[in-house]
Amino acid sequence: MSAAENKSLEKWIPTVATKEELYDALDKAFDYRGDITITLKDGSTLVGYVFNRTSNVPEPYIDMYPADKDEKTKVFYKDIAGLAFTGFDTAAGKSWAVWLAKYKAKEQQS
Amino acid sequence: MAVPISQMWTVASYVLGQKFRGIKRYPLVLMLEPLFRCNLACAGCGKIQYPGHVLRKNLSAEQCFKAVDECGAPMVSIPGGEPLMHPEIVQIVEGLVARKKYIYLCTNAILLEEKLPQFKPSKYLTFSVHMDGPKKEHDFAVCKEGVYDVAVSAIKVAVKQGYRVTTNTTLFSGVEPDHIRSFFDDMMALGVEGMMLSPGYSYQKAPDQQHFLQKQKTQKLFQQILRDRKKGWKFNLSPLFLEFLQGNVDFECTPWGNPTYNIFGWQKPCYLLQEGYVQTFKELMEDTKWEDYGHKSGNEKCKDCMVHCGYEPTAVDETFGSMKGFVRTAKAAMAHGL
Repeated sequence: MSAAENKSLEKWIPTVATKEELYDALDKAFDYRGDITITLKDGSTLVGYVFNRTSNVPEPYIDMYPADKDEKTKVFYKDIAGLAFTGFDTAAGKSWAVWLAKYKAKEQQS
Repeated sequence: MAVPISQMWTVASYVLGQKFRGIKRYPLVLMLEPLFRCNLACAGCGKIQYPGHVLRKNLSAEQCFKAVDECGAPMVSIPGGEPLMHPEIVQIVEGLVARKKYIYLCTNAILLEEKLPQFKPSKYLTFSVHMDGPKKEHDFAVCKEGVYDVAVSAIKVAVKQGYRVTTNTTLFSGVEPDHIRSFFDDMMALGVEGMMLSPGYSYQKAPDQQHFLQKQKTQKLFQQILRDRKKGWKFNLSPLFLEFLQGNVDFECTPWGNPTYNIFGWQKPCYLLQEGYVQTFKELMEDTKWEDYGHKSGNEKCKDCMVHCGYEPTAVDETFGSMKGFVRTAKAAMAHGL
């Protein structure tokens, strides 16, 4: 997924009513360069960076670094009620085109 | 000779030892990323786009030593992020020198002069300074003016103090071959031991997706840059990798050759692609579907890649894997006075 495509995921709240939707959303969460808010089935929430997903095992899980802790946390797919792309997408909005335009403008001024 | 004899001997005996034991897949250089934080934000870099709490994390020195011991590679490259921003970088380097690992500390050199007094020159330690071409091209690539001059100043000081220094150049589309040739002259005049070269890789997360080279363009560019190679140019690369870059030989990727370890764990499958993490080196080597990567695999992400972390290990393996490979390497080396 390109940075441009990623940009559209910021603030996205996917529907995860089916297994397919949940797996797809977690794949996108793994690919996303911002924090995700995970709502668990017990009502609690976890905010952090999803850096791994292991979906080809009997009990699939994601690994994340919670924003407020220094330890990695494992969350099982079966415990997830919902997720939201709440964090700023750090890979978006810094395009080469923008830099090039700034650079050219500066060159013209000097 | 760009690489010291002792280092060549260490690498040669290591590779031959692997061959002798029948080990097909072995690591050559551990890519140890102790942090993702950087004091630059280059448009071509896909390594630093993380939330603040991730950027603030560091691998501890102990975690670094554990990964180095687990991996067993004779060389350790320390990229990042900017390694000189790591609070324990001196301890990490000292620990690796004690383990007799050949270290390439990759730096943009902004902090190098300030930090140099904390290090000691050693045959095991090389500062590999990021230099993406002459002043204008480099400052453009790193998206900040003045960085080239800072790096040149730091290189001079480091060389004068007896450190091993190399340059590390990533080439993107649009560079002028003659500018790069002239840049090589400038770098060698600074007294660096050798220069490393690689075409850029189009990271999925890098903001710039349009300025990376495709395979044929890469070969043409390197042919133009390396034609009538000057005897004074020293490259810190295998002669066969330089032949590969010019399209004179064809290689398959060796993605396990430069395994990567960072705050997330062991990165699958290679330094450039991020398809997940495992917690042990053994898992990385045994559970990764290696056949899914490289030119032959048909994987779109690998199609145009000619980056040194995948193909330098292949070139080294080729050199020591057969008499033919060794002779070919020796010929290439002698032809260009490497």
